[in-house]
Amino acid sequence: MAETTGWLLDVYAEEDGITLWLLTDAGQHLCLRMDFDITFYVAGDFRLLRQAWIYLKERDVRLERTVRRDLFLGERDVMAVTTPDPANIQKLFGDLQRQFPSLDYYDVDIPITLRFIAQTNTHLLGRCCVLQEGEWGQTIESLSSPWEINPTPIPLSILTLVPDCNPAIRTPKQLHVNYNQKEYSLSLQSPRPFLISLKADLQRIDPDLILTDYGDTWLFPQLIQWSKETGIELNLNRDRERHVLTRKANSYFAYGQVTYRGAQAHLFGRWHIDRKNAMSFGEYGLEGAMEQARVTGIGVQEMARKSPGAGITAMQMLTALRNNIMVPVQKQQVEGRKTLTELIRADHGGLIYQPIIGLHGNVAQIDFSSMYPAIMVKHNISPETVGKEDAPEGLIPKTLRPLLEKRLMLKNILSDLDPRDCRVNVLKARATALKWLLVVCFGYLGYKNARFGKIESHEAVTAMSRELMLQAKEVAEDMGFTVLHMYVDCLFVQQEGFCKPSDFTQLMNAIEEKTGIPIVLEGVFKWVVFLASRRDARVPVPNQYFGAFQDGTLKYRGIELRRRDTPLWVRKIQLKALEVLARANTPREFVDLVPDVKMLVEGAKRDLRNGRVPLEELVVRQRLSRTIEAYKTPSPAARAAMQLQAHGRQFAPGQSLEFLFARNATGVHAWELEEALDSGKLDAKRYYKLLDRAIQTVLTPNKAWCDLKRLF
Amino acid sequence: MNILPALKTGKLIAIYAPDAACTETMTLIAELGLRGPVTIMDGGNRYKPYQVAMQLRRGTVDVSRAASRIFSRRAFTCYEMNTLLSSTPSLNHPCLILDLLNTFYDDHVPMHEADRLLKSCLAQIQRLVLSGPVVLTLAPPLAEERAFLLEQVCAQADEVMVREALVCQPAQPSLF
Repeated sequence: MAETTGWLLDVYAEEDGITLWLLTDAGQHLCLRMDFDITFYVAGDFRLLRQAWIYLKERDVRLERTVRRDLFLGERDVMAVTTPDPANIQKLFGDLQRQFPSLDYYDVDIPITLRFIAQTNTHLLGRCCVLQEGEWGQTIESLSSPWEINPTPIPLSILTLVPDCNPAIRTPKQLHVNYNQKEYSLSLQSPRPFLISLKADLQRIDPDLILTDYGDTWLFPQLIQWSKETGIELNLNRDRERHVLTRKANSYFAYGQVTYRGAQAHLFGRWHIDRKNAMSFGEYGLEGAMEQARVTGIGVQEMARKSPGAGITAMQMLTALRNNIMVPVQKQQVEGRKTLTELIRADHGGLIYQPIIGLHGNVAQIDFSSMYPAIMVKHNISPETVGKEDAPEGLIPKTLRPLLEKRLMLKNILSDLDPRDCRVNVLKARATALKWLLVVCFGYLGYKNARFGKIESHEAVTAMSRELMLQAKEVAEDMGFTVLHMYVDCLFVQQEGFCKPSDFTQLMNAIEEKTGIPIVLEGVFKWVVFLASRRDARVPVPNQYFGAFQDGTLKYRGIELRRRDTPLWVRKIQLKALEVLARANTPREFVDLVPDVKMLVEGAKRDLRNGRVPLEELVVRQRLSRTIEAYKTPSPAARAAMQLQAHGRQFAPGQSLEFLFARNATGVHAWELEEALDSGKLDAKRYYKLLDRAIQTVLTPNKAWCDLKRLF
Repeated sequence: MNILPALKTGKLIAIYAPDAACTETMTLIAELGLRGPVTIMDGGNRYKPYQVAMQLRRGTVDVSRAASRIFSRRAFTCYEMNTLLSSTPSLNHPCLILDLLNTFYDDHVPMHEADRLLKSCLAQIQRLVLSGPVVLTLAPPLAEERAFLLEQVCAQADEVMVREALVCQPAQPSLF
C-alpha cells in the first residue's frame, strides 16, 4: 500500500462509492476511488414503517432498526436505510417518498462532501494523508484543521478565459487566455482551429481551476455546441468519464426581491468558476470562496455560486452529523402559541434609534463585533435551547463558535498589519467571506426553509440585542456622553472635549464589561451628518448618514453613492463632493467649502453638456421585478427590455438591465442595443436632476448651518 | 362584509379576496377578541397585531384583557401549516386561519406534495369545525396550475364569501 500526502480538492459521488481528487505534494493530481456507504433514516407510524421495510427489501439496500436523535423530538425509533450507491440516493428516496409520503425522512439530501468530511474528519482544501492500493483509497487521515489561521497555501494552476466583449451584447471575436502571467488570444472566427488550440492548451496546462467571464452562460454551452458540430471531442473535465454538469437558469424570490441566477456549468476533477455568475465573488474573490469552502464543506465551484445561507446550512448539517443528530428533510417545528400582547412584545427587530438630525463634530462610532452571532454563542441561543434553563450548548452556538473565533482572530491580525503588507488583501478576503457566513446565520434562525430554525430563537436574538444596546446607551450616558444615534449594533457618541480614539477607551471597556460582547471603535468622525427625510425635514432617516474620519477617510450609508442604480458619473461627482467636504476639520469649516462643491458640480454639468462624459459612466442599471408582460406601467428597465426583446432577447424576472436616459419616445436606450446612442440624443436634463439630487443630499446640512450663521 | 352573524359551530366560512381579506379579518379578530377567546393561525404573514390592538382600544378600556384572549401561531411553510393544524386541539371558540393557501402556492413544493398536505390540513380543519366556528381566508394563486388547491378548499367550505379587488376611484383633489 502506498502513502500519499496532499490537498483534498474535490469529492463526488459514484454508483459504487466516491471519487476523490488530491493535489499531491509532488504536484501530481491523484484520482482515487473509495467505498462509501450512505445511510438515511425514516421515522413515523410503525405500520407504515413496516410497509416501507417490505417495499425496500427487494432493493440493494441494508435495513436496520435503530434509535437516533431528532433535535426537537429527542430519541426516535427509526429505520436506517444504507446504500452503497451514493449517486442514486435521491432516486431511491424519491421512490420511497412517493410510496410513503407521510413518513418523516432524515439525512436524505446531505451533500456527499459533508458526509465524507463528517465521517473522515478531513476538510476540503485541507492537508491529508491517503493510504492507497492501486486506484482505490483505503484510509484517509486529516493533517490540518479548517480553523487554522494560516493554512498551507495550495499551489493551484489557474487558467483564465475571458471573451473580448459581453456575449449578451455582441458576438465575441476573441477569447483572451491567461495562464501563469502569460496572456494570448484565440480567435473565435472559426470553431475548428479554436477548439483544437483550446484542447491543446487544456492538455498542456491541465489547470485545477478554469476561471471565466460568462463561462456558465455563454462559453461552456458554446464549446459543447461547437464540439458537437465539428466532431472534435473536448472534455473540459479532468475526470474523462464525466460530462460537464449543467444546471438551468432560474429566478427566485429572496430578501424582498426577485433574483436571477444564470445557467451553471460544473466540472469534475477541476473547478470552473464564472466570475460573472458567482454570487459574491466580486467582493472576496477566489481566496474568499476557498475560505468558505474550507469551513462549510461545500465544494469551491459550488460555494462560489451559492449564497452564504447555503454555506451556513451546510455547517449546521456538519455539526448535526458529527453530533449524531438527524437532519430532517423538512423542518416541521412551529411557533408556540402567543397572546396578542406577547406577540407585540416579541416580534421586533434590532433597536434603531432616531438620530439627531444635522451636522455633528467629534463623534465616535462604536460597533459590537459580529453582534448577533456573538449573542447566539454567549447566550446559547439555538432553536432547541430557547426558553430552557441550563441547556447544554445548542447546535447553532456549536456551529458558530469556531467561525466567530476565526473571524475575530483574522480581524486582529489585520488590525496589526501595515496596509501595504502583501498579506492584507488575502486576509481581508478571507475575513469578509467569514463575515458573510456570520451575517446570514441570524436570518437562518427564522428562515422558513432553514433545517434548524425556529422563530422564537430568532426573536430571542433580537430581544437580547435590544437589551444590550440599551445597556450600552445607559453606560455611555452615565459617563457623560450624548448618544446621537444607535443602529442595531452600533452607537454614535459625543462628549465635549473628547476627540481622540483613546478618549473613548474607558467607555468601550465599560460597555464590553457590562454586555460581555466584544466591541470595536470604528473611528472618530471629524464631522458626521445624519440626514432628514426629504418629505419632512423634522423626521430623521436612521440609515442615511455620511461623515469624515480624522484621517480623512469617508464613511457613507444609504446615500446615492451606495445605490446600485445610480449612474457611475453621479456617484463619482458625489464622492468628489464628499472628498472636498472632507477637507473640513470642524462643522464650522464645512460651510466654507460649499462654493468649491458648487464649482465642481457646474464643471461636471459642463462636461456632460459638451459630450466629455463617456457614455459608460451614464449607464443606469436596474432590475426587472417581474416578466415584461406583467408590467402595467413599464419601468425604465422594462422599456429597455422591450427594446431588446424586439431584437430577439429574452428576459426573466430578477435580471438586470443597463440603459441610458434618452430623448426618444420611450425615454431610454438599452445599452446592449447594437446601434450606439447618438450623444445628442442623451437626456442631459434627466442626468442633471439625478446629480442635483445627489449633491443636495451632501449639502443639506449646510442649509441649516447657513441659517444658523444668519441668526447669530 | 359582515362575517360575524354568519359564524356558528359546525360551519366553515371561506373568504376569498385578492389580499386574503386582510382588513376585514383584523376587524373580525378584534370584534371576536372583545367577546371571548379566539385563535388565529397565520399562513401568509397576514396577521397585523398593531391593527388589532388599535381596534380593541376603540371597543374597550381594558385592552390587555381582550389582548390576552387573542392567541396566534404562524406557519411559514405548508409542512408547518399541517403540523400547526394537527397540533391545535379542538376548541369551543372561534378559529381564524389567515391566508391558508399562501405556503401551498410556493413553487418549491411539488404539486403532489402540496395536494397531499392540503388534504391533511382540510381533514384537521374539519375536526376543528366540529367544536367551534372556523373562518379561513384565501388569496388567488400566483400560478394558474395551483388553482386546484383553491377549488378544493372552496368545495369543503359551507359558505364562500368573495370580495373583489378594491378599485381605486380617481378622486378630485381639493383646491384649498
